[in-house]
Amino acid sequence: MKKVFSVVLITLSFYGIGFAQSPMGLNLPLGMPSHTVTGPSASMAGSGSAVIDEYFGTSLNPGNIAIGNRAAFSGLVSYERTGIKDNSESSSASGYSPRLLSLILPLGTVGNIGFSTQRQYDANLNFYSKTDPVFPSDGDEFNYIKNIELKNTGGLTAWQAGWGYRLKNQLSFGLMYERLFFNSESRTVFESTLNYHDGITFQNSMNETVVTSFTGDGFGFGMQIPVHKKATAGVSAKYVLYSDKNGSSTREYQRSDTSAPQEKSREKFSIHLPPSINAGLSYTPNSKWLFAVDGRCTMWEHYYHELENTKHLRNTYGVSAGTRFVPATSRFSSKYWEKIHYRAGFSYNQLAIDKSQEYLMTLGTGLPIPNDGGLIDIIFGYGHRSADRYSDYSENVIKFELGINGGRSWFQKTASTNY
Amino acid sequence: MRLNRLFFCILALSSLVLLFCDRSDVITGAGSSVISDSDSTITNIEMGFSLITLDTDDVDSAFSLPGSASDTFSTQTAGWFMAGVNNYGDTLRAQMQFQAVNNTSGYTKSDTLEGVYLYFRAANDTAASSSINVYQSKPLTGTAPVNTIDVSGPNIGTFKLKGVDSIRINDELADKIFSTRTSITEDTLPFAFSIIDYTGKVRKINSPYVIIRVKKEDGETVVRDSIPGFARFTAFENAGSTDERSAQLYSSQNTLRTAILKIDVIDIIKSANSQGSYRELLNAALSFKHDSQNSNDSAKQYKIVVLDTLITNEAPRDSIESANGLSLQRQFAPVGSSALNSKGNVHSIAAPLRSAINKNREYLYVYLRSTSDHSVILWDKSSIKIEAVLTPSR
Repeated sequence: MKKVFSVVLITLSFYGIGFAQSPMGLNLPLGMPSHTVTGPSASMAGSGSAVIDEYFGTSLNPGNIAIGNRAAFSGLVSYERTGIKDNSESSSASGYSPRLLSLILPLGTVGNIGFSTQRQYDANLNFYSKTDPVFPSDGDEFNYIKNIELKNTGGLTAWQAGWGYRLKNQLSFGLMYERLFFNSESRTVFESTLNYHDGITFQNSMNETVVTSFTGDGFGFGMQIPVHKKATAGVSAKYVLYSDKNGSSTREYQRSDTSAPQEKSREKFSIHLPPSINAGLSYTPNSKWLFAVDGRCTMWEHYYHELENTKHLRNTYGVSAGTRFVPATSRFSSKYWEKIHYRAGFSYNQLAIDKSQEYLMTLGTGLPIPNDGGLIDIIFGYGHRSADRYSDYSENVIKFELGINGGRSWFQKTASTNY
Repeated sequence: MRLNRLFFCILALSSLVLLFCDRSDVITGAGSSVISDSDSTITNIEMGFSLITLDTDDVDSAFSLPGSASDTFSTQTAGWFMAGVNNYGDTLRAQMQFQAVNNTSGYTKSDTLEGVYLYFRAANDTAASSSINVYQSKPLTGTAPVNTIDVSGPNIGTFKLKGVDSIRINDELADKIFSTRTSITEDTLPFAFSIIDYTGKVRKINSPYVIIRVKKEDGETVVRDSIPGFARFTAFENAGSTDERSAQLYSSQNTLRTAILKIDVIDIIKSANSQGSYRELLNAALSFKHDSQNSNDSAKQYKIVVLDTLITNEAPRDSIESANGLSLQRQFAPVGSSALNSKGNVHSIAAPLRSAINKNREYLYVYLRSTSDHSVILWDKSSIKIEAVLTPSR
């Protein structure tokens, strides 16, 4: 329990430090999707909706809640560096943040309950443009500098609670309720600086800040179906309920040399998030190998925002495939390295704007904590994003993720010491 | 240490390392082709700002106030006064007034009045002046100018100011003052003096005070009582010079003559109003120089006020016009002095220019006063420049 608590505290302490950025995310409805999953799934490029493993958590398939007869938790933090190449210009930005916290608790004969919180979309961007000093007159000491800054922070976070049950024929299913929170602050600053002799400077800026937030309630359902003694199929779906005027937007317009905003407005709007569906297949030829493949679809054509034009959005499809290899699965093996999980994966996902996509390759390890204490995931990922409409533009992403998974039997009776 | 504790420590340590890792979270330049799809004003920095410059060609007129001789314009009350004739032929005349009230402490009617004296203390220069006559006169109301016509009383004395000097007030007035001070009822006695015919070099004198010397009944103890004064002075400009000065950018500390630039801001207004864009004034600065050849050596400090209206009235500070902000004195009072710079002086004018744009005013008025003692500044009209930066409204 202390371990769980400590992991929760450490993970939560990272909140608000910084999130990954993507200029392409600015043109997407909620920002860049982060496809957040637990460490074992992340190292397989996000595949695993058909993998029966308590450390795969609840994010891919609510049916996985039913797995295991002990309390199991998973957490994931991510460091991401995005390199942007735009014609002849290049820049980079990095950030690190917690991504997911998941907990499954057994209830005995009535199944398991699961809880998780995860970051689903990132709407972060800090873009800065500045000119060199402009000298309007030759020989004049006067010059002026212009800056424009766009700073967006926020994204979509989901808090989930669900229940799962496993039948005697090993089919498991789960139901999940999801509460969605979207918060975003977009700040645009136009700043000018006039420079004169003797260091005399006049600087002023105009700021526009738009704060947008909305909430949503969703439901999910998932199943994991053993189709063969070595293969499992998984399917899950999620639907977000429609709410009227569930969003609000506040705009403030202010000059830096005044304390009160010059304009302030607020309006409410209706927004409906798209449903999504996941399907996967896993295959374990023997105790050492696991193969998994997933396909997913997010139906952006059903997305509705009262104040925005959404007709240009398209349904997105994605596939991911991953594998895991454990040299020796027996806990009694004497060599530690033989118990390490070695994983790799590849994924391709379309983005909601036509002809834009991202690829991701991952390599990872799962380091077992002795005495069945859990698993620590170390994951490296390399991704690439591009869009046909921006011919000389691309984003390369390098990820380093750290996952922690653990479990404890709370209800299992301990062996008697009375002889 | 157990292995799982070791793992936990590794986890905590790596968390701390991540916490203190370098963060780079600003994208500069790259990405503009994508961002401009969402909002082109963010990436097109040239479109995001408009720099407008005005120069001497945009100065509609340059002059100084008052347009004609005005003693109301040139009256100052500042805790000191000036009297004499300056290097430019302007005559400064002063008036000081007092109010004696009953004060029953210290001495009484039964004590003996030794004398009442008027004391003057030089504010800076302690070299001896030529003779200064002091006349009894009538008190004035508010900040009215020094009255040079109706001087009701006699010449009460003459002094040559070196450091601290005094004049003995005549017995008739002295007795009245003593009687008022020792009265058992709430009596008051206003009285005043003027310096109106001193033609020596201008001297700056701190506000004078009256000293009452009283010998107590015991015949030994001498009590000194004081009454502080309120002083003013008025500058009467050199006859015949007013027209010439009013046509120049002329500032004088002695006479309060104020240089005024009337600047045509039509170009800025038009740019701000065109098609609703470039509506927001971010920055504006005014730069100018003084004509060091024709300014005197005392020219060191000045004050500047920039308004979108022309104020010609130097109304008394306690007048209705002054209360409504329509007097130059009221506008200049809260402004601090700036030092003259041989490279030129620069001031932000964003606030008054923004006011002019919002009210669709055609002109901006720049008021310049010299503030160093005895200073005269001529300003260089050809050096005037205004730079203004506007940005589109959002």
